[in-house]
Amino acid sequence: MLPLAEDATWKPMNRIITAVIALPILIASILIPSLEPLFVVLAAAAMIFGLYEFYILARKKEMKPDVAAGFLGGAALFTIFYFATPDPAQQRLDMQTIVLVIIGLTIGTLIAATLRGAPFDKLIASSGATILGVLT
Amino acid sequence: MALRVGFEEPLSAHLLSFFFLVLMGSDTGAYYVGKAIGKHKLAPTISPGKTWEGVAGGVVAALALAAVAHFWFFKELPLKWMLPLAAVMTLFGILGDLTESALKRSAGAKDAAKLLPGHGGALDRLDSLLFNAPLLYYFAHFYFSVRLP
Repeated sequence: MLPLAEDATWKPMNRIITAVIALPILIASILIPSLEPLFVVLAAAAMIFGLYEFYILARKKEMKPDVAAGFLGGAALFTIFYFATPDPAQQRLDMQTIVLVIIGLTIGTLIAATLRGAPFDKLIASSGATILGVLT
Repeated sequence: MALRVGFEEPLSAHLLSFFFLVLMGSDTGAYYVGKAIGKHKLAPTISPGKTWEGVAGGVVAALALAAVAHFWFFKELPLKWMLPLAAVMTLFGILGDLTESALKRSAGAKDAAKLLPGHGGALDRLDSLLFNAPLLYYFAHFYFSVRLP
């Protein structure tokens, strides 16, 4: 976003084409009820690729995020949101379930890192990266 | 996702459409204005490509698209609230963008990945949404909770 005019890597047509195609599809998947499954697929894809890229960045800093646990936690949160409704009683239950998933992810990630024999500094950094990826 | 399920239909669909329209539109507006007339760097140590002219272009695009959203589908929120909200969302989007840039820079990566042509990776697309999702959720929660029965 917001690049300088002299940036040699500018690819304006790519950006226009992607925006012109992607944005209307995204808006249609939200506004047209029959296209809701498409929105779910797009949201899931965004979550998967976003998490994957975050873990790639973490690995470049020599952290070892628990990728399987991260994707499992992300999938659990996604499933909760998929079945969530605006009903206040249901929302309270959903919130408790989300907290439970985050607690489970934190404990599970720490136990797995400990069992792998990681030194304390690596253990904390890698577990933190795993959990932060899911939360963001 | 919380925006999608946190409110009754059609409000949730309108909020989410407004969210994507404004943020993706401001992102594109900022990109092209920055490309065309960008001179003054915004945060040279974090992201040398970002300019103040791009910020201005992003805010203008966000305001225009917020007005489009109001007249197209989102009449529940008056323009006197929608336009300032769109401007604040753009600024939050830039903060998210800078945060992700700092993250990439510290990891020694230019783009998080090359997933989307001309856009970099998925994180490069999601960064401006990151800080805005809670902003819009809580704004809508307080605004519509007060006004709806």
